[in-house]
Amino acid sequence: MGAYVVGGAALKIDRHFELGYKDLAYRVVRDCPECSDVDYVIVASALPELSAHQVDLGIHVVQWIGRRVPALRVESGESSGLAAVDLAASLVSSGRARRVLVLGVEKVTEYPTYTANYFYSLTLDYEYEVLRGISPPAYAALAMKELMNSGVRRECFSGWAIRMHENAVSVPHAMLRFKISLESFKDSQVLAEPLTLYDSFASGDGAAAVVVSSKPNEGDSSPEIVYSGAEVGLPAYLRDRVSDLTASVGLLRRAAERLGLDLRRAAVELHDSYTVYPIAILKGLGYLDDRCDLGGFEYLNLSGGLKARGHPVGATGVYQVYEIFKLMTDGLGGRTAPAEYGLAHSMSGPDNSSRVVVLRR
Amino acid sequence: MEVGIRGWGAYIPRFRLSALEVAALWGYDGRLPKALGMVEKSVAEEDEDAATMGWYAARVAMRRAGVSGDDIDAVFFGTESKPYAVKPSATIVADALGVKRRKLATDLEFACRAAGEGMRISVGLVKSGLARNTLVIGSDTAQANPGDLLDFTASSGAVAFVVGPASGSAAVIEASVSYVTDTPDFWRRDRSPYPEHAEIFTGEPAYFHHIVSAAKLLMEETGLRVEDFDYAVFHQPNGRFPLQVARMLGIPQEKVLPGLVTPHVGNTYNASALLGLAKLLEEARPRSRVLLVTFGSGAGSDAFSIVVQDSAPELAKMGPRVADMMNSRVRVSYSEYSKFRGLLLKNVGG
Amino acid sequence: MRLSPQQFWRIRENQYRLFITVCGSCGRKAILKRPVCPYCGSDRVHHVESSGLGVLESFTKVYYRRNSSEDDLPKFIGVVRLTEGVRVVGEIVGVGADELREGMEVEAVLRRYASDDPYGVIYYGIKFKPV
Ligand SMILES: [Zn+2]
Repeated sequence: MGAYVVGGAALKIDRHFELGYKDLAYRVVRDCPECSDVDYVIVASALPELSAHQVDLGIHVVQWIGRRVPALRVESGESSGLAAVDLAASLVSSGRARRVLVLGVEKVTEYPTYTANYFYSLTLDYEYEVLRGISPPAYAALAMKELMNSGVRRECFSGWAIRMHENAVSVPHAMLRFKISLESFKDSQVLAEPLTLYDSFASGDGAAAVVVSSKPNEGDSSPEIVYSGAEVGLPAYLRDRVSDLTASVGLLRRAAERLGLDLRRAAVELHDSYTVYPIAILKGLGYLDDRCDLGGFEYLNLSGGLKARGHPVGATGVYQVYEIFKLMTDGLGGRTAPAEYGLAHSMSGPDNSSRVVVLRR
Repeated sequence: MEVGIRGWGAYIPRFRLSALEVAALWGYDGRLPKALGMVEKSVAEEDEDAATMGWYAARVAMRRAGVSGDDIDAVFFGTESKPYAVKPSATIVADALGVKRRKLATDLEFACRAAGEGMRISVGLVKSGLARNTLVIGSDTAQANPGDLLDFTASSGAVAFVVGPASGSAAVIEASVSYVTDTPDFWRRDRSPYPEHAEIFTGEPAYFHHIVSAAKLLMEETGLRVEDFDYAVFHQPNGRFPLQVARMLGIPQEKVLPGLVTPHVGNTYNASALLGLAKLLEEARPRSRVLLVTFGSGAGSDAFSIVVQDSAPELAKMGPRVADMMNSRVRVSYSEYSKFRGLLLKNVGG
Repeated sequence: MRLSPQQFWRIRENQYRLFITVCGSCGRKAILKRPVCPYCGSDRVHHVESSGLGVLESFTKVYYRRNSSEDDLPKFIGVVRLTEGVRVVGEIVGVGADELREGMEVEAVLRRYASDDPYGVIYYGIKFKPV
C-alpha cells in the first residue's frame, strides 16, 4: 500500500508569545481541512520536556484539539519532523492506519535566548559534548574552517544565506522575509569564529501539519512518499573531519540513485541550520564548483531553509514536507516546482542522524 | 627508615595582577607595593580551584617520582580555600589521578600551613611503615577582601610532593619539628566570604614568633647551626617578611632569595613556602641543605631540614619548573581578576 | 539542584581521565572508555590511558551564550590530536589574547566543567592548555 501526502498547513514561524504547544497545534489544524479526518496523530517535537515541562505531548495535544484518536510523540532532535513523517508513512503502508496527521510543533521562545541555546545544545551528547563546553555553533565553526582550508571561500557560505533570504521573501510562513546583502555579514555578531549569527538558522516557534494517507485525494494528484530513509553518523568528535557529513551525503546519494532522480531537477529542501552544512553536503555530493555557483539547482530550498524560513527544532521536518507538497501541487507563496520529485533532508546535530523523505508527483 | 621527597610538582596560573593596579584602584600610595615587596600576583581562571590546581601539581610530582596511583597510600590535601566547605577535595584529586581506593585521604586545614603539617604526618606514616608513599598537596585560591591589604598578595597556586623512602629520593627529610600555639592573627568565620586579620598583630607574635621558635627548636634538636644551611625558605605572606625573619635568625639574604617566589606570584597560602622548596629542588646543587619553615595563622610552624640529593637535577627535567611557570605570565586587569575569581555579585541558579 | 550528582559520579572516570578505546577487531582507536567500538561495533575492545599530550589541530573562539556560561566566555574549543593518534574535542584554557596557534602542543588539565551554584555539586573534567 502506498502513502500519499494529501494536505497540510503551516503557521508563520515567529515569537508566538501568546501561543503554547497546544495552542500552536490547534491553530495549524484549524487552518487545515484535510487534518480533520484522521485515525492517528503523530506529534513531532524536540523540546517540550525542557521548554514546557511536558511529557507525553502527543496525547495532550489530541485532547486539546478535541480528537479521540491514538497519538504519540516522535523525538529525534532536529530531525524529529522527518522521523514523524517516516513513521506515518510506515503506519499507512502497513495498514495500521488509514490517514495519519503529522503535527510538527515547537516552542523555542519560552525562555531567554541563552536558555534556548542550552536546550538546542542538548541535541549533542550531554555528558561528553555539552558538559565539555562544546556547542552546535562550535562544531559548525570548526567545519567551516575545514572547508575554508580546503579552498571554499567565505562568500560561499554568506552566499547561501543571501540566497535563502531571497527565497523566503515570498514564503508566507517564513520567519525572515527580507533580503540581506554581503555587506550585512560584516556587522554580524560572531557565534564561534568564523561563524556568525547570519550563518545561523532563524529561531522561532512554529507548527506545521501534513496528512499522510493510504489513498491519494480523489481527482487530484497527491504526491506519494516513495522514499523515507535514515542514516546515523559518527559523533563529530570521532570523525577525521567535522565537515565530513557522510550520513547525509551517503543517504542523499542513495536516495537519488535508487529513484534515478537528479537533485538539481528536484524540489530539494536541505537542512541548513548553519550555512556550512548545505555547502559541505553539496561539496560531498560533488555539486560544488570553485565559484560556488548553485545555479544548476532549479528548486533548492525555495522555502528559505532553516536559515530564513526558520528552524522550530522538532517541527522543521514537517515544514519541509509541507513546503515540498505545496511546491508540487498548488504552489507555495505563488511559486511552484514542476519537478517529478521533491526531497526533504534533515539532520540532527552535525550529521549525528540524517533523514530523507522523497515525494513523487 | 629515612624519609625523603621522591617527586615534586608545582602549578602557578599564568595570569598576573599588578600590585600597582591594586594600589591605584583602592587608593593606596604607589609606593606601598614596594614596601610590601610585591610586584604582581597570580590569578587562577574561573574554572580553576584548589582541587584542579592541586591535581596538576600532583600529576607532575607523581611523574617525577615515577609512581602510579597504585603506589600512593595516602593523600593529604592542605588548603584553606576548599571548593566545598564540606566534602573532601582529596577524593576528587585522588580519583582524577587514578590513586587506588585503599588509601588514606583527607583535607587538612591550618590556614597556610596545613600542607606543611601533611609533610610531617607523611614522614610519620612512612617511617612507621603504615604507608609506602604519600601524596601531599598544598593548593589555594586565596581570597582577599577587595581593597584590603591582602588584595596585594592573596593569590593562586599549588605544589605537591610524593613522600616516601629516602633511598633514591630527590631530597632527604633529615629532621622536622612543629611549634603551635593558639594565636588569633588571621581567621575566617563560617559564612564569611573573606578572611579577617589582625594586621600588625599578624607579624611579631604570630609569623615571626612561630617561625623563629620552630627554626630554633629544629637547630637545637639536630645540633645544626645556621651556617649549615645553604638555603632557607620561609612562608611568604609578602615579599618582606621572609627577609626580615631571616635577619632575625642571622641568615643572609642570598640564602633566602632563591626560594622567594611571592614578589612575582603572590602568597599562594598552602603552596607558599613549599613552592619555594620546589624551586630549590630544581635549582640547588645536590647535597645542599635547605631550612624550610612554614607558617599558618592561628598559629603554627613546621621546620624541616632537607638535603637535596643527586637525582634532583635529572628529576627536575621531567616536568615544568617553577621558574618557567613564574616567567610564563599574562597580565590581567582588576576587572578580569574579579571575573576570574567570582568577586562580582551576580544572580545565580538561572 | 539542576545537576545530578549521581549522573556525574557514574561517568567521572571518563571525565577525570583521558581513556582511549582500542578495538581488537578493526584496530581503530576512539576517545573515551567505551563498551563497544564506535567504528565497527565490536565489543572486543580494551582501554588505555592517554599521556594527555597532544597537538592543537584546529580551534574556534566561541561567543555562543548558554545558561550561566558568561563566566567562561569567550572560550576556545579545539580539536586536539593526542600523541596516541586519537582526536578529542575540548576546551582550551590558560590562553592569553591571540596566543593560540594551530600546531601548538597542548596538555590535559583538570578544570571545572560546570558548577551548580550556589549550593550544588561541582563537575570536574579534562580540558587542555598550551604546554
Ligand atoms: Zn572496531
